[in-house]
Amino acid sequence: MMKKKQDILHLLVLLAISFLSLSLIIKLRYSTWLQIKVVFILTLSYLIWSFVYHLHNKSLTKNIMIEYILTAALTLVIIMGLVI
Amino acid sequence: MKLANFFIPHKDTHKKAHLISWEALFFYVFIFILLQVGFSVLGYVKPGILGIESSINQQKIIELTNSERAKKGMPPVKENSALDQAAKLKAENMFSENYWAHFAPSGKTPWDFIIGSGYKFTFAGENLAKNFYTSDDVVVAWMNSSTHRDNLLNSKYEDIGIAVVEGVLNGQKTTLIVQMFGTTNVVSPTAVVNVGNGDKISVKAEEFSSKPQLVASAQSPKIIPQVLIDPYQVSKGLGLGLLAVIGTLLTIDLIILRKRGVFRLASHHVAHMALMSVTAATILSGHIGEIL
Repeated sequence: MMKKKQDILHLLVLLAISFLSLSLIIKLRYSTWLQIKVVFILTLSYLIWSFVYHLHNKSLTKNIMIEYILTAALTLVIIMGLVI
Repeated sequence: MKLANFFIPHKDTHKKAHLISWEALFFYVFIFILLQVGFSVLGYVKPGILGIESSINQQKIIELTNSERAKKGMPPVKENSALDQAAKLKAENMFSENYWAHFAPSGKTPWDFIIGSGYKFTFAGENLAKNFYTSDDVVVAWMNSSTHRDNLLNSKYEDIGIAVVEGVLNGQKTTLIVQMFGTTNVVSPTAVVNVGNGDKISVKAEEFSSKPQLVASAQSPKIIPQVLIDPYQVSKGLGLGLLAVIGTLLTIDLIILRKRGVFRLASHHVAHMALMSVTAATILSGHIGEIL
């Protein structure tokens, strides 16, 4: 029960960060560079969140972290590809 | 290796679909980096092949500028041929010196072009834009930047000059838009130029007599090759496509695991989907155009 509550709390933190980023992205839609900065900060928050979440759940493994890092890297290379 | 295992988790081991495994993610990152390197090399080897095709109209930008001024109850600015000339000279100079800034690497200032075209201003301003698809996008972007909006809605200006010039900048076909404002009425003790980044620069009186008269390039216009690839649209399309595929496969993975009632020690799909959704929103809402 306690674990489920903590999981929900972790997810709420993640969703709050995502919604905040999304609203900033929409607000800053005419400033590509500021949008990119928001995505960078979101990506960093996502990595920190994943580390804390899996550490807390005692599920932190090398493979899991590699997957998070690669997902973060993929979003960054896609976003940077839009700056020509 | 079964084809189904590329899209859905393995039926016995419940291992993730191959297309969302970490090996696949590594491959996607590598492909996107390769694509960007390829664009850079192509831009260097075949300048002008990459770029965007714009449909920006000089008169439309003046109309839209005056429409924004009218909304604030301001008088319209009139097109001035000397300011048009100054804007054209500025755009051509950006292509010839290959820069994107208010000040040229050679030291040329925005007022060099204004004075050089014979416009004796007391107050002037410059807004720049590049790589927009339409005239509306340019004016909307300027209006969404406080410093550019201040220029556009400045009541001191009476005249406007616009240049929309195509050329090759950093290896890519680029459309530069230079907007210059000015007045010859005395509005301040010294002449001032208000550049789009918000800087207000005083121009010394002696500069008006020491600057050479500039003339428009007498050379025949350079032939710009037809754009074959729009790197922005290619990156946007591939990026959105890949995010959609990964998002769909992650959802399928979640549904199948739930149906099978198995637990797998793995990364959190919801986290990946949240990050990818914001990235997709950035791609969809973003603009290629830049203002300065």
